[in-house]
Formats: sequence, C-alpha cells, structure tokens
Amino acid sequence: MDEHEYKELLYFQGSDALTMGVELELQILSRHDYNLTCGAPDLLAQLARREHPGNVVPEITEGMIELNSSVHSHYQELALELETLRDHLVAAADRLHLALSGGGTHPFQRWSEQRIFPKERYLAVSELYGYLAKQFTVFGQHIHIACRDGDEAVRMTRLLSRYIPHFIALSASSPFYQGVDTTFASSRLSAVNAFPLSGTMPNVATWGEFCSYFLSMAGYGIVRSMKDFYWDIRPKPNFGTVELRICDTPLTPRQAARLAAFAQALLATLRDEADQKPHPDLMLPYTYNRFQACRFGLSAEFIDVATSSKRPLVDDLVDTLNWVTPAAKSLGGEQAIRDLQGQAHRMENDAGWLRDAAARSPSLAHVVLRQTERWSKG
Amino acid sequence: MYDTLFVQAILLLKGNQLASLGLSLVLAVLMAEVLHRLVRMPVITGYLLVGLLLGLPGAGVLDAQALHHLSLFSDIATGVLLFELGRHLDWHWLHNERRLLIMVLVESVAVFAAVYGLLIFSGVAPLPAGLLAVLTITTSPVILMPILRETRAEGRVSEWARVFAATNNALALVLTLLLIGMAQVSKEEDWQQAMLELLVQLGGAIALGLTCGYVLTFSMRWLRRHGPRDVLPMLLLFGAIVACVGLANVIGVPPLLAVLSLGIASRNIGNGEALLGINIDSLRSLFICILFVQTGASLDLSIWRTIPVTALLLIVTRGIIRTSVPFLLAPYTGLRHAQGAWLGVVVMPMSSLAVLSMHSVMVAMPELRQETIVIGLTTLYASLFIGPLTTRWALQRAGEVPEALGGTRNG
Repeated sequence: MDEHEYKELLYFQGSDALTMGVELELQILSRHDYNLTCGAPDLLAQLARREHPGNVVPEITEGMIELNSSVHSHYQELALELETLRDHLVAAADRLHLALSGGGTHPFQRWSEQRIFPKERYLAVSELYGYLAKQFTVFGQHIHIACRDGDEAVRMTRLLSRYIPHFIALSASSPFYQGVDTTFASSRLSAVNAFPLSGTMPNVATWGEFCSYFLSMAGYGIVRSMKDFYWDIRPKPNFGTVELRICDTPLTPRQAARLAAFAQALLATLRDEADQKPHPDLMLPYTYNRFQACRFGLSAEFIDVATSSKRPLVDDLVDTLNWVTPAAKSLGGEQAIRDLQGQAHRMENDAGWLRDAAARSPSLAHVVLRQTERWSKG
Repeated sequence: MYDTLFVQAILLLKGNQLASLGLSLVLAVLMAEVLHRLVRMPVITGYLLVGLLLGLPGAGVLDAQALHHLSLFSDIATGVLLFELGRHLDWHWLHNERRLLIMVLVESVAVFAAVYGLLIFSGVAPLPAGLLAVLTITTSPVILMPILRETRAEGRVSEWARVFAATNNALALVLTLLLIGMAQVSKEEDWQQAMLELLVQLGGAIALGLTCGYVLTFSMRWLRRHGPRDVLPMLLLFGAIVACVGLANVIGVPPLLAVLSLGIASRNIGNGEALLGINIDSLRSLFICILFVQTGASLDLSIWRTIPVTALLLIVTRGIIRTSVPFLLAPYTGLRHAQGAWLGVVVMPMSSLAVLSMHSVMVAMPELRQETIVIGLTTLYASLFIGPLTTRWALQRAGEVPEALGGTRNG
C-alpha cells in the first residue's frame, strides 16, 4: 500500500447524527445433533434467492454467519429490522434443515473440526494464526455508534473503556465451551485474548496521533487495515464510528438492539459532557474489571478509579443506566434502557438463562435446541 | 448354554472360532488402515477386502460356521444403520420441503421405469424384472452412512443424500413386500388371504416400529430426567434397536422395515428430543467392521465368470438415470446442477439390503431364482467394491469434505 491508499484508509467519515448499527455473529446448526455445521455457503446461496433487509456475510469458519443491520437512529427501528432479518434467516435455514442461534460460544463444538470459509482474508488469517483461527469460532455482537470525527472517536474509545464490564455482564451468553461449564459468564473473550493484536487501543489522544500509530504499525508490516486490530473498542474510520466488540451475541435480536441503544445513549451522554476527560488511571484496573465481568457476569466486582472504590458491578450498571436515561429518552431508546434496568435488578442475563436450561436438560444438545427456539421466537 | 460361541471357544481348543474371529477383526482394522494410508481407500472397502481374503473366497479362515455366528452382528449393524437412516426423515421438514420429496420420488420412478424397460427388452419376465427394478432404486445405507462419517462430509448434498437413501429404501421395502404379495396372490386360490397376510406384514412392521419408538421415547425421557446418566441412554437405544429387529423376526414381519420405522418414529415423536445428544458412534463402528468382514467373506466370486450383459447394461442405465435426474431437477430444490449430479453419484451404491429382500422374494418365488440372482448380485457386487470410492469422490467434488480429507472447494 502506498501513502495515498493509507490516507484513504484512515479518512474518517464522521457525522453529527448519533446513528447506530449492529453486527451479529450467529451459530449455524445441524438439526440432527445441534452441533455446528458447515452451512454458511448453502445458507448464503439460499439467502441470495430472495431480497431481505440488512446484509448477511460469511465469517471465519463455515459454521458461522454474520448479520449486519442498516444504519439506524432509533432503537425500535433497529430492533424491528433485526427481527425481520432474523425471520428471513430462520426461514432460509429451515429450508436447508439447519437451525440458527445466538450465544457467544457453541457449548460442545470441537474447534478442530471447524472449516475456514474459503475467502481470501480468512485463509490469510488462518495461515498466519494457525489453530487460533479455528478457535475463533466464537460469536460476538459488534455495535457501531457514529462519531463526529476521528478525534471524537478516539476520545470515545477511551471513555467507553470504563463501561466495557457493563456490556460484558449484560450480554454474557457463553458459559459453556468444548462440552463443559467454564464457570465463566462469558468464556468467548478468552478466545479473543489469544490474538497478539487484541486488547485495547494504545494511549493516544487525537486522531492524528492514532494515524501516526497506525502508519508505524503498517510500516513494520504488522497491520494492513483496521480489521487487523482485535481490540475491545476501536475507531472505524470507513464507517465513521466507534465500534464496541466485547459483547457476546445475545440469545435474541431484541436484546442485541437494547445493547446498541444503551451504547448510543451512553455515547450521547459522554458527548454532552465535553469536559469529561479519561481518568489518568482509567486503564489500570481495565483487565481486572474485564475479567471480573467475564467470570462473574452481573455478580462481578467493579473498581472505579474515579472514586478509588470497589463496588458491585451491578450497582454501577444501574447508576449508569439511570445516568443515560435522559439521553435515551431523547433518542427514542427509553424502553431499551428500562428493560436493561429490569434485567439488572433481577440479576438476569443470557448466561444465567443457559445455565438454567442446562440444569433442566439431559444434554448440552438440548440446551442448544432451546437456544434456537429462543432465537427464532424471542 | 454350551452352544454359545464363548463357551465353545473355551472348550474347543482346535478350530477355535473366537480366535479366528478376533484375529480377523484385528487384521481387518490393521489392513484397512494400511490401505487407507497407502491409497486412501475407504476403511469399509478395506474391511471388505480382508473379509474376501480370509473368507470363503480366500483362505477360508472364516468358515461357514464362523460366518453364521458373525451374521448376528451383521444383522445388528444393518439394524443400527437403517435406524440412523430413518432418523433423518423429519416429517415436519419434508412437509415444508415437498419439492425434495418429489425429486426423490421422481428419481426413484425414473430408475424403476428405465431398469424395468431394459429388463423387459432383454427378455426378462415381468415379475422378476419388476423385482430387480425395485431393488435398483435403493441406496446403500451400509455404504453411505460410514462414508459420510469417515469423510466428515457436511452440506446440502450430504443432507439430501440421507433423505434420498431413507426414502428410497422405505419405498423399496414396501414395494418388495407388495411384489411378494403379488407372487403369492398369483399362486394361491385364496387371494384374499394372501392380501391380508401382505397387509399384516406391512402394517405389522410399521406398527412394531412405531410401538418400539414410543416405548423408547418414554423410557429415554424417564432415564434422562435427572441428567445424562453416562452410557445408559446409549445402551437403552442400542437395546431398543436390537429388540425391534428381534421382535420383528419373532412375530414374522420384515425386520428391515420395522427398524426403519423405529428410526423414523423416534425422529418424529416429540421432535426427536428424547434421543438428542446420544452418541453411538463407537458401537456402530464395531458392528460396521464386522458387517463388512462378513460380507466380504461370504461373497460368491464365481458370479464374475459369467457376468450377463444385461447386468452391465443395468448398471450403466441405472447410473445414467440416477445422475441425470438430480442434475436436471437440482434447481427445483435449490441445488446447483453440479450439486445435483454429485448427489446422484453419492446415492449410487445399491443397497445390500436389496439382496436380503431378494432372498425373501426367492422364498416366495423359487422359480425366479436363476433368472434374477445373477443380475442382482452382479449389480450389488459392483456397488460394494466401487460404491464407497464413488460416493467419497462425489462428496469430495461437491466441496463437502474437509480439505485435509481430500475435499475440494469447487463443488
């Protein structure tokens, strides 16, 4: 790539409107045993036969598929589109005798049996990362919120890092992995942690500094595009957004829309408080808080650097939800915040739902069957 | 008690069959692996060749008595595979995907019509021609299922192939019964009695399968109510399959149809949830090994000395129809033409169950023996030796096999 191409790559297409979009990675399952199956090529061919909203694209292995929403301003519109797209996908899968589900991990698939989707980028990733590529058969939700410009995207990337545990705890839906209960609420992120370019954005303050960092990394031949950074939050210049990548795919499209509405309201609130600067110690407890949320979900502890105190994560979550409610009201996402408040009060998330289902089921295949039912009707 | 193989084996130092059986299995596994490593031969073909080498056509280590003992295992293996095939017939799905069902039926009718026409043209009498034509619509679950497992094939061609095999076997079993009935009706004065017997056979087998299906479902739900229960569900399932085959024999209804009905019932009662997550892979592998060793050891190769031209024409005609109909109708069910053609090749091997059915017909129609057996066995032997290779090749070409196992991406 020459300098011109890099400049084009790093051109930040910002916008004033606080729009949002969602990417959801879904599990493609055999209806015989509810294991992952290589259904992506057939499913994509089947979907191509009819028009549908949004976009559906392949993912790194053939037992996965990614659903992309359009750009939305309002929670209800996003939720409606995701549910419509879900219905299209489920109908197409049904024709192929396949099932689909949410959830951050498949409870009993064997990663070694997964097949890399034959697309140039995925084959390159597989070539570079070896077995990690197949182990990356985990399922996440990515939330995009529009930013005005690159500087705001960098600022938001840093400010939002305080709230990463909140999103992890609310979306956690991967307690089972490789046939066992991991004791984690979200075990998915452990698969992401193995990548050398995972973690967080380096400590830069402006878009200019970020571009310098990127060009240095590109100069060393470590990265070629923003996609090579597997960070928890990253700026996405071509979309003009900041992208949260830490959520497990929820068990229902409605929950995915709620999380997006929460992120939108949070960003709106942070944007309104222009004087709010990232705390100097913000990143010190980052991995600890992140681990706590992955391990214990809504029962995690949370270290707040602003008050130098340790408190239950759920308390901070409830405070945060209350704090963003006015912004949510003005953006049309009040119902989503209210629903999330209810979940926080009841200490409910999908990981708990999955463990309850497992306790009532004779096998993990039954749990996956329940997941598919929840995805198609929830 | 003293008749059991185990006791005999201990008491009789000479001609110890347990030793010969055990060593045959050990050799089968090792040879199959050697052939697989050397020339990527499917393991079931390896078992077959070892059986051929040690059995009646070869060294004779596996003599008639040993083969008699092995036949019990082979019956169980056949039962397990037919049961599994039946479990791929999901009524709810097929009701919504009637186009697939129509394609299977059109293909079966086309194969039947072409083969029947050829045989009549070749001077074979109508009844044996009808019998052979019915047998040629089958797909061998004994070849298809192990090859699907060995190649870890996944995708629409594999899925459709299972439905093809389940449907055409069910169809063939019913039609074979009808043929037997027709033969008896033509001979007996009391045709009403003959028809009644036919209906009893047909209905009895399906009713037995359904009853066993309900009993199995409810027992399994009870057993698994408090968790996985280790290997007990697998043993219960295995017991139910064997019991179904055995009971069918006891009450005199076709065991193959009964066990296929059991598979279909267990898939559709309560959406098949009761049996979800039960893995009988290792158990099945053992029985498949024995089945192919026994089959290889029992082959009558003298048949190759006089291969009738009609048999060769039958194989070619069947092959052309079996490939061309799915090729032509593929877009009707959402497949690409190429996928349709590969599907046709995948489901090509004729079922050895056809021979079992044929034996039943021979009992009912002894006068047909010479006329049909040579053609039928020739076709079957070709399937046994070539079928695993063609099925695997087609799955690879269809892009449904991992690259590590020889798959391509150009399906």
